[in-house]
Amino acid sequence: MKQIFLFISLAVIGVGLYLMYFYDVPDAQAAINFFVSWFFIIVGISSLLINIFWTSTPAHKKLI
Amino acid sequence: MNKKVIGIIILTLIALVLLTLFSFGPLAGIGKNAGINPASLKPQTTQPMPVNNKPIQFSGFHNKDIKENYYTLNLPQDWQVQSGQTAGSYSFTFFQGNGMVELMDVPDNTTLELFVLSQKEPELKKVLTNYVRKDYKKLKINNNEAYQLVFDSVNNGQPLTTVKIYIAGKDHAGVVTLNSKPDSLSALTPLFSTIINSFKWENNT
Repeated sequence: MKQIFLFISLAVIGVGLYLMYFYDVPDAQAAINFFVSWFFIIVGISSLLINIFWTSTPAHKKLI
Repeated sequence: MNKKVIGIIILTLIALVLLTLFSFGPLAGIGKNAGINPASLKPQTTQPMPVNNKPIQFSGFHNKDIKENYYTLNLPQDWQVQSGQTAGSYSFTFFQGNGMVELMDVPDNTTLELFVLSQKEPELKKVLTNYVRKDYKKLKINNNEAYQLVFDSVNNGQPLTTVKIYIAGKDHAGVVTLNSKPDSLSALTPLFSTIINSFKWENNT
């Protein structure tokens, strides 16, 4: 599960970088492209960090 | 969820709020370098050029507003030239008419000719009154592909003839628009072609 989450995070960052550097943006849509590309990069990086620092707590504690 | 994860989520939310403010809110425009360069508005005097066997003094405008599309254009010295509303543009008036020079974004997935014929000309037909195409031809201006559209229209009840030239460039295309009264077009044609042929991309390889 953690690996799938990691893959999705990297893919989101990749999409953000693609939109920022390689996508040909019409002048009228420059602000939207700026927002969307940075949105993907920020969300991708934060989900990557959450993935790294996440510590799962056991669902059931043994009584004995 | 541990403290680090909660901290990351809070920082992410703050970053997204700042991003929204930078993109669409009151902070939009800070740090962007798409403005009008003051150097673009300082013309250089060029050697007089003969038009209709009459020497005419031109001013050379070196536009340095958009990095990939620096260009030079000569305009007669007695024309009133001022900066346009967008980066890379000028508007000008002269005795028999007016016009403008601007940069036009052309998407990568089309050609300039297709873009002009499928997008720009239909837009002109929609916006202008009594649009009638008089001529369309392909040109070469300083080794760049160019497309010239000549059309008639009516502006505020006055008939107008427009010569519009789209010059292919690296990212944007250069667009030179020259408007005059229909009866003075033939007299102005040599001057117009001198102006159009002076258009040169400065950073073309």
